[in-house]
Amino acid sequence: MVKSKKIKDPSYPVAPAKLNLWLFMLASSMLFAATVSAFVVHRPDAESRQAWTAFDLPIFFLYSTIIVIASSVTAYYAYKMAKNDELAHNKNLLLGTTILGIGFCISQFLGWQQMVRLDLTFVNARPEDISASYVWVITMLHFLHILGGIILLIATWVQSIRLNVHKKNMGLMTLTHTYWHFVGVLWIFLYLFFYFAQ
Amino acid sequence: MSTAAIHADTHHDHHEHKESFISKYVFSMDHKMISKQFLITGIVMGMVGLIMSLIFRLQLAWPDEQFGFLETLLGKWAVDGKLDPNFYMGLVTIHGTIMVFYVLTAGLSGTFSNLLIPLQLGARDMASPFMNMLSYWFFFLSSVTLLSSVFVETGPASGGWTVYPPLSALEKAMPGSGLGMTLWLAAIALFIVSSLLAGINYISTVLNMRTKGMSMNRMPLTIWAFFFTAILGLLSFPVLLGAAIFLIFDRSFGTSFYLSDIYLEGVGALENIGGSPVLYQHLFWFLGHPEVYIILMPALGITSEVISTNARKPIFGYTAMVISLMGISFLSFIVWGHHMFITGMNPFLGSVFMILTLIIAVPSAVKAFNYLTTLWKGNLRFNPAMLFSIGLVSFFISGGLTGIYLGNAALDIQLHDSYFVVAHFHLVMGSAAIFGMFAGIYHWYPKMFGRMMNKTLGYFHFWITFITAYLVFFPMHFMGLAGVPRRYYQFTLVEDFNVWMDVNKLITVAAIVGGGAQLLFLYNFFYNIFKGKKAKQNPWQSNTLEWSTPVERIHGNWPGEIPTVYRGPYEYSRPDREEDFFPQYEPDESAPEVLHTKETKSAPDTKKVEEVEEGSVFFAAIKRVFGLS
Repeated sequence: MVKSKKIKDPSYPVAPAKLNLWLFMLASSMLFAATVSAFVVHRPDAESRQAWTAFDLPIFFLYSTIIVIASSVTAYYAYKMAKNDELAHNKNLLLGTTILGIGFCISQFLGWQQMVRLDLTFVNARPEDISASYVWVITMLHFLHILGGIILLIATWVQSIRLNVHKKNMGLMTLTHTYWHFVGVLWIFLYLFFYFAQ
Repeated sequence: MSTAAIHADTHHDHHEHKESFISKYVFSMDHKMISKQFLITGIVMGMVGLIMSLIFRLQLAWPDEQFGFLETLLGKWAVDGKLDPNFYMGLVTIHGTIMVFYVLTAGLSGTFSNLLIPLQLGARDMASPFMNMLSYWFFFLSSVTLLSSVFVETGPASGGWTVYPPLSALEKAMPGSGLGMTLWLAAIALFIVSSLLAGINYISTVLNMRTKGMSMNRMPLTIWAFFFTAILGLLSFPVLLGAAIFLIFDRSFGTSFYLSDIYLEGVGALENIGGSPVLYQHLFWFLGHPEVYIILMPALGITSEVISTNARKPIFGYTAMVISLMGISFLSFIVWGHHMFITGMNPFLGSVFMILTLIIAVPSAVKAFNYLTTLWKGNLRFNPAMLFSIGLVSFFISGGLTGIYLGNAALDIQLHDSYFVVAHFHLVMGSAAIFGMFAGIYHWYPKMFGRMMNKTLGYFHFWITFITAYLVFFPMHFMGLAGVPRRYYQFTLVEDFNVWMDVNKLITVAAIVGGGAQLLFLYNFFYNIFKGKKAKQNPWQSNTLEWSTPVERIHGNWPGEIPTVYRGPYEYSRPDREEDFFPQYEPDESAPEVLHTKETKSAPDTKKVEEVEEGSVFFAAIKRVFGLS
């Protein structure tokens, strides 16, 4: 066994958890790059067989975009407050971000409902609805990422209530903050992509 | 910064824990134990894959013979001792899947990245030991899932290891596309999770947790290889996950990403419409091509280390070795189309993929020449690890040369899906990578188990495996050139292929002998874990950091402080030294103080910058970015 008390290992240039998160985000970006590329590659092929329809995205996806931008702003201020040791503000802003995150989920659900009403179902009833299947898969994959973000937010919020998030303990807060911006930017990219691609 | 310090502190507290059986051997978070878990699971999977190949080789050599033991072993899949065609396809598919993913990706990379990254870089453990443990257990679950698919009533997945739709997407297409295929997809999804968890850890540890003095340009080539391998995996496995997700939806939910206008059993077009099966091939091979380098590069890294150590010479062209690994990694992402020349690809696009593919010959040749020049006039020590490394170089060259044929679109259209392809990839990535793995096992066995393997058995193992591997795979080139297609159950029905029956028998006999030689290895491996000769601290007189750790495994790797690194890893046979090696961790007593306290991460001094500007700015910049200057 190591007599650990006496040994002082040098600290690492970057916190390992933070670097791991960045690498995870890189991997996850590749998943979206792949699915979005599939959409791009598939489209001309399907169009040549009249098996593709362009459709307008549900309006709720626009609301989701606005919500996710708002939540990024609150997440940023939550991070800033934690850095300034303003714990009460940090706690409230984290709660606000979580609520906005849940709002985003609700808005996504309403958006999917709208798609179903327009007969743009996940399983394509008509050959030209394959484009809708892509929207479903990609938005649902993003939704899973959002769920992960909400779990992180709640965990950070709980830590914040216990006064564990402050200037000298920014580990979890930094992770949550970074990840939440990532899923937000990812959604904005996906929204713009579908908006201009359709 | 502060979080890092906190992490380091909490990490230390773990050292005080007493380990129970479960935490030591089962849910271990120690990278050395996880590496052994990967290795032993890999060996078990490898044996399963090998036995499968022997069974289908029997079928190819003696298609009309009845083997009673096959019926005992396989039951309804070999009625009257004759292998069922569907099960034959299943065996081929699962053999490929096991060897590619479970043995040569997880078994090779998982074992040696886990063992060597912390040990050779001077870290106490991986960046996240918990993720590392999860990675193994996802891999284990995945292995169990894949093997269980062999036992389902409709048989395992049987559309080839690439599982192209529509064959794999429609349950009715063939028996193997039923539950077996579902389990295959589940296994691969678990496998992807495992390799992403592992890859994140490897990259993070290499970038972040090197000991003092271990700058990037002092890293052993093994670490460079594992590092690039992990990057390839991190960028390409998510793409396979995307492909698998679409396939799962097509199979089980009724979507049509890959399916369109399909007539099955003479019945009119299925409901699925609008999809594109070629899309799957694009997504699959975007992983599939980097995957072959994920398999090969760790073996190349291990070989660099073993050859340099046992030739008692610095590796020839360290920087060239690193840059060629980098070049191979980069190119591997933009050549996937060479697997798809016959999909009706635009010939112009085909030429682009062809040129990019042929460019890979350049970094590969650099590596081959550097191995040969390292061996040239060295004080060669022919222990089993060295022999296996030289074997790798042999396979890398003989198998790589045929890659130049297959990379040509015009030739590939003729050779595609023939035995020529089988010969090519079994030599260049199958045999070469497995030889790299054996070299690694023989070389680092003393580090893993604190005991030595038997040398004589190692020699027998090497020579029999080496000769039989060539006997198995070399004749396949000629079969392929004559047009014999791969994945066929029986050739006797085609008159023209009857001339190859003798060759098929030769291949099968050689495969059985080669398979038998692996028993020597198994005995050597498992017996010596318990009864082997105790290993010395540094049995191969190697320079790298892992040999400075105590022979007995301890948590945290070094009992005291982590050693500091003073020089590169390959300073063998220095003329100014009495011994023919100079470990990285040994301070140079004779040199002036300045030399061995030199901070490698200090700001570039201005003098050097001026020199650089006189020379080639571009290359100097590239070198600086990658820390090679």
